[in-house]
Amino acid sequence: MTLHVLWPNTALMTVLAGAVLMAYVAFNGMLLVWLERKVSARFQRRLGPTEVGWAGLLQSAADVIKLLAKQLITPRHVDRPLYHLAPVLVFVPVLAGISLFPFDRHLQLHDFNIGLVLLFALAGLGFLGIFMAGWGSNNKYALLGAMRAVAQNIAYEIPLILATLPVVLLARTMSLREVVEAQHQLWFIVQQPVAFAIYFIAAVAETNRAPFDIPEAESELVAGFHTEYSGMRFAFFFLAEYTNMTIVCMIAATLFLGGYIGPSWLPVPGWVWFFGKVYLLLLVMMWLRWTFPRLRFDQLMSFAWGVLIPLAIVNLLLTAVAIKVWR
Amino acid sequence: MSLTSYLPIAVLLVIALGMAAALTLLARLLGPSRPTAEKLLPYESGLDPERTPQLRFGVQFYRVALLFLVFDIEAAFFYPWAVLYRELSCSGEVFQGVCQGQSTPFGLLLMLVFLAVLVLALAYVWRKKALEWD
Repeated sequence: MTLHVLWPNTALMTVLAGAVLMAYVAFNGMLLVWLERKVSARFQRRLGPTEVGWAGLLQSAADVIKLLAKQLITPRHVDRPLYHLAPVLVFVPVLAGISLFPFDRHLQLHDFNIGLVLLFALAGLGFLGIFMAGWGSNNKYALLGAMRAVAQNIAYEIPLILATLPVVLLARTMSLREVVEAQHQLWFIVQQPVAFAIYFIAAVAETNRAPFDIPEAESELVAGFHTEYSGMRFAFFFLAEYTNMTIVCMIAATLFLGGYIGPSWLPVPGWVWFFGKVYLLLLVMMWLRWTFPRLRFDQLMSFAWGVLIPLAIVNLLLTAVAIKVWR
Repeated sequence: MSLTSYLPIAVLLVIALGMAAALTLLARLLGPSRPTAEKLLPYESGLDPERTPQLRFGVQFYRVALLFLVFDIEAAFFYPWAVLYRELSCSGEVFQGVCQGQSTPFGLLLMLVFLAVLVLALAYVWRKKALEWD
């Protein structure tokens, strides 16, 4: 089944769309850093950045300029190819990942019939970059952080995937656009609240955010896998992290919250609904950070294998049986 | 869907790669370069590192990696099954998700067998305490 999209698939248009997406990724990263600082500050009864620009809005832009002007330190004993390639490998797949989403009914670069699987495949490349950074840095904090990050990411990848399967079952497709189109009557979160909860918990863990921020636990590992990175190379990790947060929230909005679909009696364009849902979920992620204490590593692993995965399997089974009974 | 339809993704990857290279080059041009011996040491909270960190590592990490391989591949097999679930559990034609012929338990049984292997493996691993961290 082919659906028409706004952007035709010519080479020039793809390059243009890539530039627009690139600009969005950079803008979104800066916005989220500002938002995170403001939200964190409010939780601690502080004001956060206020000096640069209105309400400190230009603080992130100033930080980018500072990072660009910093010395690029390459420590002497690093494994050079791995060390140099790692930030790039973490950063490159997220741009391709963010291009897969239908932002509005007619605003999607290309609709793949295996869109969901493609997204997870691209996310998998990022883990490789994290491990390369940790191994190549020749630093014990970096290596410990990378080992933890990979173990955590692969453990939570399974409940993440298993939680998306009931949605695929209901929508009978892996294409992101068709999944959204299947939610005109009812958002899938109503039929699949358990899957949504599992997905969101696993997504927070996948993005290495508190309470699952063990890979970069500042109080024990300095900065985890990117301890030895400074200046622009550090900025790549930072940008990739915030873009990954956006991507997992975009998946949640697409699969469970109806994507670009909102109440039809409201004259609001679809992309406003889409981004509204995404940024609402991002705010929830920032809220979680200041609500829950960090888990211990063994608790983290047994929570994934002992609670989330069995729960996701049972949920998948019940969904399959329910479809059998009611259809 | 042919392989050429994935070309936009390849183009985007190349753009991102170019962007990353350009920014690194820009940082190299804008930033100062004054390396000192202390600055180039591995960071270890102020102490000089005594040995390389690339030593033997806890075996639990490898067990998790092995388990992940099994579960991830199994999960990948679930996707096509989930898409075709209606067709698998219907003896006739499926029109807009509704079975036109006789309903059969084939689709459900197919997954039950598959899931049983998965759950049995997980239970075995759990009982063997292979996922415990000490």
